[in-house]
Amino acid sequence: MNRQTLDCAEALALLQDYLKEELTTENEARVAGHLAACGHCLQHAHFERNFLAALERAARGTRCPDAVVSRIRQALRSTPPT
Amino acid sequence: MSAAPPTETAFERDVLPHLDLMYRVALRLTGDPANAEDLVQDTVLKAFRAWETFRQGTNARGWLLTILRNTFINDYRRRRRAPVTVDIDVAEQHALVHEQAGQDPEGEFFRVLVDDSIVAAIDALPEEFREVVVLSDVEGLSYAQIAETLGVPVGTVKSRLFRARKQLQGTLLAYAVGSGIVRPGKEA
Repeated sequence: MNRQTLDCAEALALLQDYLKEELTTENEARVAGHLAACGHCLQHAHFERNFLAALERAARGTRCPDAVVSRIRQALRSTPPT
Repeated sequence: MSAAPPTETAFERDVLPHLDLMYRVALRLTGDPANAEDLVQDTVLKAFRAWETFRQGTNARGWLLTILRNTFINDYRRRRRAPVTVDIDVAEQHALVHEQAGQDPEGEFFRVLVDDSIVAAIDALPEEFREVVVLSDVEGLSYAQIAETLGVPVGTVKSRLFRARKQLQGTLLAYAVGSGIVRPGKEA
């Protein structure tokens, strides 16, 4: 893609990678430029952003149970190094 | 001569901070808290024995996740409760999920979904989709880090993520419609 502008299909194909900050600087600028000019794709971007935020929120709170941490510490002390 | 024996403090300092992450990934891979606990413990002990092979100064996270995943595949996968199989064609039908969101084109419903429903939807994904979603979208690893952990090209990570996310969006939208959070998009 050498052009400065993207059509909607191209922008949507890059949208998730854009939100995950996985694009090259050039493509990031192209997607940002398209979103600034296209309400339809901007709506799409909000949809994807809300989705990704929900995934991040949902499972991050789970912690390794204290009993397991203790068990592991104990196992480490009784495991001889090889 | 081999390197000096590992000092437990250095190992603990580099490895134990990742236990929560390892447990969450193990939980999603095994689908079961008891197996997840055992998988984390097995992983840590394997890492301890292999500590000499860890390149000091690099991030232990990717190294640990690789060990965890290999241990899961070798020792735990067959124990996972019967997976919910999902027809890939069904997943592809969700390509236009956004268009079906009707009254909620910006996906505000994602903000009010209860976490348990999101976790259940992740757990229902096929394994190769589930692991990329967990590593990328839950735990925040970069595509390159995931590719290294899984031993696949970055392009494979991207295509799995794309399909996994579409499938998840479809499941979550169906849940939101079914529970009255979103009105279906087909109405006039």
